[in-house]
Amino acid sequence: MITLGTALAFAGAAVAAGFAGVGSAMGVGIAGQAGAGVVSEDPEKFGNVLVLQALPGTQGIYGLLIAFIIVLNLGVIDGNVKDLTTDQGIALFCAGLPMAIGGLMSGIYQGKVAASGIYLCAKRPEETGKGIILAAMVETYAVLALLISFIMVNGVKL
Amino acid sequence: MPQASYEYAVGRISQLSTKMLDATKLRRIYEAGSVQESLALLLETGYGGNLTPEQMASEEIDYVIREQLQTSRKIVWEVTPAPELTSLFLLEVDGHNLKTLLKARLLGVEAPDVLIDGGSFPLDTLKECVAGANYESLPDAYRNTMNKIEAELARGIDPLKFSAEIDGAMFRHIKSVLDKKNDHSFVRDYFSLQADFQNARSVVRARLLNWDVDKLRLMLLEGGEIDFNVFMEGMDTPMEQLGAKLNRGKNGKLISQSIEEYVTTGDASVLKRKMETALMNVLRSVKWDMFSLGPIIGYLMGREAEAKALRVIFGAKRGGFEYELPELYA
Repeated sequence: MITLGTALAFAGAAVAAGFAGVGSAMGVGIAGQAGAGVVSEDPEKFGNVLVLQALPGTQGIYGLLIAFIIVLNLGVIDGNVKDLTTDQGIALFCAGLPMAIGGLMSGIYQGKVAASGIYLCAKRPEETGKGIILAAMVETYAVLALLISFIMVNGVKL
Repeated sequence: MPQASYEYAVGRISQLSTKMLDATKLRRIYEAGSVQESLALLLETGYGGNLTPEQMASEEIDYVIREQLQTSRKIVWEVTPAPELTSLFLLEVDGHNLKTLLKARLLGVEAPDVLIDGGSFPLDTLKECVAGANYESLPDAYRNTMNKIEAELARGIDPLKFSAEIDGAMFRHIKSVLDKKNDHSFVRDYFSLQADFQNARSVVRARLLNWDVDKLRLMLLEGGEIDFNVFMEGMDTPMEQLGAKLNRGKNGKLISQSIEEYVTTGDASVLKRKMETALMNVLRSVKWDMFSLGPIIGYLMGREAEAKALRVIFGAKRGGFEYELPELYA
């Protein structure tokens, strides 16, 4: 029988991986559609477009990382799932939220900036690097979300 | 299969926009040694990309321009996620086709070379409508107008009148589509500006040609911000005060300045030039609005402006005089 605390901790892992993954999927989707438009007219730009399209994919990885640390701390890997108190569960759920929200929003917005970078690459291929830098700026906030979620997860004594 | 998303559409358009001709490229084309060299230079830029070698060999600039325009319209039509709004920018093509088909029917001739494909309505539909004088398949504004014209034709033929009525139908249709969609984007700004400017030009023309108010009323287009009564009152307003009289709504200031410049210089073409610049400025204002219709329509209208510029340049080259470029988007 799983305690409410353990269930909440699982929910924390789920939102971190799930929402950040949705953010990445949307971001990569937005940039991918822009990229498909450019490549359909000039297939030689595929290399540059691919780099920009891949950038919003990192939020999903960060979310997965936080979720993985939470379930690892719960003992899911070795098969002995710990019984957490409700307070511990709430704390782990809250620890997953920064990554969930930060990942979701930064993924979407990074996708939009990456799409704009792809349009820049279409018009001025020599400036693709600047498009990548602009899109990478949004990454900062996903990294900050990752950092705070990581510190919070490690701060919960089980 | 094309995806109906702004991201995809603007991606394709961004790439295609790199092939548009700017003032520098157009100058180079003009400065080539001969008309043939100018045409060769134009084709080198990728203009009229889908032409076969036989078609290119014909060296007909009008043919090349028409092919490029039809290709551009087809691409825009293919990628646009908002076909209903996009179609409004293609209505001029339909207006041209309707007028041509009607004139051809009245003269008892065929006019396949003058018709343009790529309008909002399929060309075959328009041909069937005009041939059978049955306009049931057209939107209300066009259907009512064309039925009215058919009834009037029985009494006599006035090409200016039916041309004005078709233009009026176009703007009524635009207004009804924008109202139905509750659209308040740049599309409404664009057509509102165009209607107001065209109406101001009609007042000036009416005064120059001594038209009466009834004839002016026929020329006025719906969808602008300035009331028709203001334009009709403008017929009796001293020319020096006409600019101030028309200074109403958000387009008023620009129209007023243009009329004052016309009064000072006596050059009626200033109104047309100012209108083209203002319309292009509306499109430029949404050029970087990447997830909207702005860049797509900008490309379409930019290609139309480019075609006008090429006609001017090749005309100037053949005639051996200096050209004045129309407003460009690129």
